[in-house]
Amino acid sequence: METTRKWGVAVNELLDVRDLTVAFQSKDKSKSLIPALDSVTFTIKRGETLGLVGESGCGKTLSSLAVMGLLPESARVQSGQLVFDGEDLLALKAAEHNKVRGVRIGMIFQDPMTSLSPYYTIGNQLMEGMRYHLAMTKRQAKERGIELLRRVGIPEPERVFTDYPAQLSGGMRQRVMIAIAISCEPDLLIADEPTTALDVTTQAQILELLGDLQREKGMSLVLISHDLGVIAEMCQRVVVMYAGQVIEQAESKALFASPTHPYTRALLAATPRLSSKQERFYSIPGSVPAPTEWGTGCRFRSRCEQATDTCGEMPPLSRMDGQRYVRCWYAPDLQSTLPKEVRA
Amino acid sequence: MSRPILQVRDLNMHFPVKKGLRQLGTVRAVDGLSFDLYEGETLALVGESGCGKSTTGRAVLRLIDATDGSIQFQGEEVREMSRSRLFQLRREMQIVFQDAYSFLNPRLTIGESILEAMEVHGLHTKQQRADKLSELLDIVGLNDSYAGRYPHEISGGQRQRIGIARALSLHPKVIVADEPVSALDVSVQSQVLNLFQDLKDKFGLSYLFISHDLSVVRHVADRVAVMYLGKIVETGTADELFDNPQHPYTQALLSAVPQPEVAVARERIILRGEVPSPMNPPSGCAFHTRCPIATQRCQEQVPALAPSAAGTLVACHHVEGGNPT
Repeated sequence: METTRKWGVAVNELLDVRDLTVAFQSKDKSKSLIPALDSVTFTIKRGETLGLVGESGCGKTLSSLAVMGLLPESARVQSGQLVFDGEDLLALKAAEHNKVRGVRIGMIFQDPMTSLSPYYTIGNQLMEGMRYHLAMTKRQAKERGIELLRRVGIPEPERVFTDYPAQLSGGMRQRVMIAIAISCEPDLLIADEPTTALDVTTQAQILELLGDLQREKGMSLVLISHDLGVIAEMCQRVVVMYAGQVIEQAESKALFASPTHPYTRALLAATPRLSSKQERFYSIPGSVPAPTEWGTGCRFRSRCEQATDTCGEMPPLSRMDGQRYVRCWYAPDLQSTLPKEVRA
Repeated sequence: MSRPILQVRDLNMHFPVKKGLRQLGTVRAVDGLSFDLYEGETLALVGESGCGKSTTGRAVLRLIDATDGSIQFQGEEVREMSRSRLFQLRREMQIVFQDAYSFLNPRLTIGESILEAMEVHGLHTKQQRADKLSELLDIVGLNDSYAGRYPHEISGGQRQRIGIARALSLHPKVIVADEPVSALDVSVQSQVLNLFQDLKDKFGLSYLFISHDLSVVRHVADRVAVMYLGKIVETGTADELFDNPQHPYTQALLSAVPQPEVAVARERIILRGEVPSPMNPPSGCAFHTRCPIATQRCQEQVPALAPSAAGTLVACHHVEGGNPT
């Protein structure tokens, strides 16, 4: 429990991601390192739903793969700690990690078709984890598997149990993935864009299911999405990422009422809403910089309206009032422009 | 809005489903669809996967042949056009796809891909085409240096701009935009949507905008048609439809769209079950299997589109008509 005290982790924190820095080693002769994650820091409390939001390539999926111990081979963890329930996941050997992955931490991916094997029946894939991790007999695993399928809202679970993934619709496959992910009753469930490939009415069903399961099992849920609407509806706290860094972290209510980092503000302003019609969308000029263009200063400065020479130096992720952290030199000024009641 | 540039009447698109020689059934991807697209307007076709919106877009351009019905472009029947007339039609009606990556030839540079369309149609001299190329790139907000790059060297947003530049190169009157921003990140999506808006104003284009994203449609469309299982269930101006949806499906669809706001507690209608197979659509109103207010009548009679009090046309037995037909 040394690490626990060292980092001052309170008891109610389940996962503490601290200064996680990951780079990819290029395949050519130079073997140069291309940065991907830069000092990513966030925590997840027991029983809470945390949203991880950002655009393609900002590092939200990579962060979760690191937690799962599923980083691609070319990835190098350069520094950082992943303290899960008092234990640094990065210090675990492969065999030890197997006792965490899939049992204590479950994961759902965006496209269930690529994470389910086409060659095995749903039942087969559903029972695998329970038999391996919980040493269940085939009969026990089958019984529980059918129960799980029923719980995630699959009609005729006995029949679906013997089906192959190709026989199911996208929404049904995602339900199967959820059933597999919760089969060993994990403490933490990571859902990486779980509804992006689905239609909106199916998305509503899946989000409702995830919320119900989270409350019922008291799990912690990390919801990764590029959709701010999904995040707003589901999460208590939100971490906003940009170009491999956390740039803002706050309680969901505070974040959506008063986004502080210029990127968070721009992202929210650019998101179309149903309620009000705009003739023109606010658009952020330029595009997300590639890792080779990150440089030393604030990574958003080339697209930022507030940027000055000061931004040539990297701002730290600093704590504002309440539970909010912002990586911007001008955050205090930006925040003072907000009405007082939303500042927390 | 003046006169319809495109008139679609009773369009049917049926695909036989075969196993060996035996025909198992027919998928009614589009079933008795009618709509008008007026000059200079944006009509959005919205609905979930499999509702037939993309099929409609392709049928309008005759990229696939419709089974039945009429498609008139400026009063001329598209379904009866000769090959040579059809070739000309494709200059006047262009399509922009969801992922420009899938239609750009990976072996051609961006410039070559844009020039190709003009060459095929024998437009301009070589020099004029080269001038036109840099003009087009400028219009879509890219500089000349992009002409020499290959599709894999540019980002998704830039590829989508190239797709638009290529469509524009032929001076079309109508652009069918099939999920043009669905693959893009929010910050880039807003840029491309603004570009669509600018081009419409500048060139007087009409868009048939196909999308599943209702938040996007809210902002770009003048009129909206909501589709379910190959049929239009509700249509009207964007303001009428979004402010006061009448059909239970439209209501459910709108309430299911997550909004980036925490404060407002919204009433959500979560539909049960899934979209039925278009091969065996339910009897009567196709939506009755999932509809919260369905009755016996909905299982038996197909509702026709009729004016509602809110101003939209609605196909539902339970909507009080302002003037039932």
